[in-house]
Amino acid sequence: MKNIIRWPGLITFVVVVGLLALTIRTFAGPLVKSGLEYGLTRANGAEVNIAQLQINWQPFAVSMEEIQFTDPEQPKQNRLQADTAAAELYFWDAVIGRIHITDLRMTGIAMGVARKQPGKVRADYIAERELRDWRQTFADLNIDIPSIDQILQRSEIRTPMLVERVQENFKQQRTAVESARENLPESDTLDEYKERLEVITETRPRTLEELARLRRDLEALRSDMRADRDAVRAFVSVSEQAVAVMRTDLTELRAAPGQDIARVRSLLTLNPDSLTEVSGILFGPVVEQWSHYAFMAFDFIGPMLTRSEDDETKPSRWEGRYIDFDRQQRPVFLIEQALTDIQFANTHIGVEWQNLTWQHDRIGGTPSTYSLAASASQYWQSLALDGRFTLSDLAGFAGSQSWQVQGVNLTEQRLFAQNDVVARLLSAVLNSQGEVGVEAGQISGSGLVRLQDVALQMQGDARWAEILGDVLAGITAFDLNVGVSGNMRAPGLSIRSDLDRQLQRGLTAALTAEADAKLGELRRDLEARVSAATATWDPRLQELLGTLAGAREQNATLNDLFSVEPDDLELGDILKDRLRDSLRGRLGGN
Amino acid sequence: MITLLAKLLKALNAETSPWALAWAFVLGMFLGLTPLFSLHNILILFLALSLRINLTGFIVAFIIFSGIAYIIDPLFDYLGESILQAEALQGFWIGLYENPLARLLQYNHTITMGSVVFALLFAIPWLFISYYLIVAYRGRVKAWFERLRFVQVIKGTKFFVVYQRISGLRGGSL
Repeated sequence: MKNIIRWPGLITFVVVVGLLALTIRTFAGPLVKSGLEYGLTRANGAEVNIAQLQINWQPFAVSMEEIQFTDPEQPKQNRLQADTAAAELYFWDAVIGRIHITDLRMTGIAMGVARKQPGKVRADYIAERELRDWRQTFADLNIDIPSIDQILQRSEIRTPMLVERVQENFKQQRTAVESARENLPESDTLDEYKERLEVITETRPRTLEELARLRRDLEALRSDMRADRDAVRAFVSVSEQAVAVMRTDLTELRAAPGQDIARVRSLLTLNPDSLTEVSGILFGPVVEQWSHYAFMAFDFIGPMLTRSEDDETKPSRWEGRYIDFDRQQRPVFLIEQALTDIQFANTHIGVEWQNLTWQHDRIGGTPSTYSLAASASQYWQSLALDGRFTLSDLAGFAGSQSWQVQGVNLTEQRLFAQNDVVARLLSAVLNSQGEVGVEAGQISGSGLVRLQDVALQMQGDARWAEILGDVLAGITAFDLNVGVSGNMRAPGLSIRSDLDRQLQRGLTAALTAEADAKLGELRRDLEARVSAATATWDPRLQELLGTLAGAREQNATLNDLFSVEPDDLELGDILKDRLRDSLRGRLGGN
Repeated sequence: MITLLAKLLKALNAETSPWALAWAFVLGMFLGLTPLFSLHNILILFLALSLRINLTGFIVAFIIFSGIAYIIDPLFDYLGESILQAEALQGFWIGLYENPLARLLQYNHTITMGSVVFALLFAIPWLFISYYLIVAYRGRVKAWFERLRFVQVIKGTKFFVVYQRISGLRGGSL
C-alpha cells in the first residue's frame, strides 16, 4: 500500500480541493453575483448590475440589493431597477440547473430611472425599435407663427392691382368708344335724311317717270345713310361692350377689399397638418414614461422569451447537447409566486405574479398571470391591471393585458424643455383604460388617456412660445389616443389627440384677435383706393350709358329710315298710312 | 516543453516502473479525451496525484489526447447520443436524471457520455499497449535509437544538456 499511495500528492489534492470548496463557500455570493450579472446582461442586451448578493444556505435562498437593468435603447437610464429581491429556491434543483423558486419578493421597483453612469450595451445588441426623438421632431416641425406684416406680405392683396387693371381697361374702352364716336353722324345729317325721305314719301307720283325718279332719289338717300348707319351700329356695339366691361370691373373692384380681407383671415387659420405633432411632442416623452409602467410585465417576461429562444438553438456536434430525461416534464424555470413592489409617484404598488415560466406546456398549460389592484389613495381613485401569457411549443407566445386607471392626480412635471422654451404640466386628473394583445412576440392594441382639470404652462421668449403658452393655458381637457405596436419588449407608441385640434382653434383665434386692428386698417386703405377709382369711373360709365342711349336712338331712326324700300313707292296715293304714321311717330309726330 | 520531454525520456530510461508509466498514460488519456471541466476529472486528478504514477507521462498523455479529442469530438457525440438514446437504457437514464450527483457529472451530455465510455473501454487496452511499448523501448528500441545519426546530433544540442541536468548523470548514455 505504501508503494502505491503517493501521500504528498494525496495530501496536496485534499488541501487544494478543500481550499477550493472553502473558497467557493466563502465567495459564493460574489461568484453567483458575477454569473448572474453576466447571464442577465446577455439576456437584457445591456449592462445589469447587482450591488450585493447574499446566499443563505439553510433554507437555501438568494437575496440581492440594488439590481439595475440598463435600458439598451437609452443607456443613461435603467429600464428596470429594484431595491431588493429575495428568492427561496430548491438547492439541488439549482445545482443541476433547474430554477424552481417558490417565493420571490422584489421591492422598490422603478422604471426609466436615470443611472449614475451610462450602462454598457452589448455589441451584439440589435435595436428592436427606433427611438423617436421628440425634440428633433419639434425642431423639424419648425413652428412658425407669422406676424401680421408677414401674412400681409405673402397674402397677395389684389385690390391695388385690380384698381390698376380696371383703370387700364377703362382707358382702353374709352379710347375705343371715342374712336367710334368720331364716326357718328351729326344730328343735322339725320334731320336732312328725314327731310329728304319726307320729300320722297310725301310726293304723289302721277307718272311712271316721276315714280322712277323718286325711286332713284330713295336709292341715293339709302346709299347716303348706309355708312352712317354702320357707324352708329359700330358705336353701339363698342359702347355696349365698354359698358359690360366697366360694369363687371366695377363690381369686381367693389368686392375686392372684402375678398382680400377674407384671404388674409384664411391665412391666419393655421394649417392643421402643422399642428398634428404638437400633442406628441408635448406628451410623447411622458406617455413613454407611463408606458414603462403599463408594460412593465414585459420587462419581466422579455428575458424568459430570450431563454426560450435559446432552448431552440440547434446543438453542435462539436459541442454536444444535453438530453432532457425529465419525464415528469418539470419546467426548467418556474417562479410559483412573486410579489413585486413598484415605486410609483412616491408610493408603492404591489403586483402579484403566479406561475412565471417559459415552459407552460410543462405546467399543464396554466398561464402565467399578473395583477395589480390598488385601492383609493391621495394619488388616485383606483388602479387595476391584469395580464396573462403562455409560451408553448405549439402556439408560441400569446398573451393579453388590460388596464383601467381612474382619477390619478398628476403633479407638476416638465413636459418639454428646449432652447429656453419650457412646457410644464402643472396639474391634471388622468383616467385611462386600454387593452393590448401579444401574438408571436408582437404587441398591438390601444389605450385612451383622458386628461381633465388640466393646467398647462409654456414659457419662453420666442413669440410662438408666448402665443402657444396663452393657448395652452386655456386648455382644460383633452384625450390622448395611444396606439401600441411592435416588439413586445420595445413597443412603439403613436399618439393622436384632440389637443392638436384645440391648439389649432386657439392659435387661430389668438392670431385673428391680434390681426383685427391691422385688418381694419387694411380694409380702410383698400376701400379708399376702390372709392377713388369708382368715383372717377362711375360718372364716366353713366356718361357712356347716356351716349349709348342716344346712339341707340339714332340707330333706331336709321333703321326706320331704311324701312322704306324703293319698291314701296307706287303710283298715286300708294304709300301706306302706316308708314307715314310710323315715321311721324318716330320723328316726333310731324 | 523541452524540460517536459526530457523528464519523460528520463522516466522512460530510468528505473520508473513500466506499470507506473502505463497507468499515467491511461489517466492522461482519460483526462485528455473527456471534457476537461467535468466532475469526473476531479477523480482522475485525485488518482493521478494520489497514486505513484509518473506525472510527466500523465501530463504528456493529457496534452496528446486533448488534441486527438478535439478531432474526434463528433465521434464521441455520436457515441454518446446512441448510448443515451438506447431504448434499453432509458429507465436507467431517467432514474439517474433525478440524482443531482449524476447531473453534476453531466451524464446526459452526449460528448461527455461518449468520451467517458470510449475512455473506459480503451483504458485497459491502452494500459497494456503502453506497458508493452515501454518495455519494448527499454529492451530494443533504446539501443537502436542511440545508434541513429539524428540522436547523435541531438546529443550535441541544448535539449541534451537539459536532459543531462535533469537526469543528473554527467556523461551518461541514453
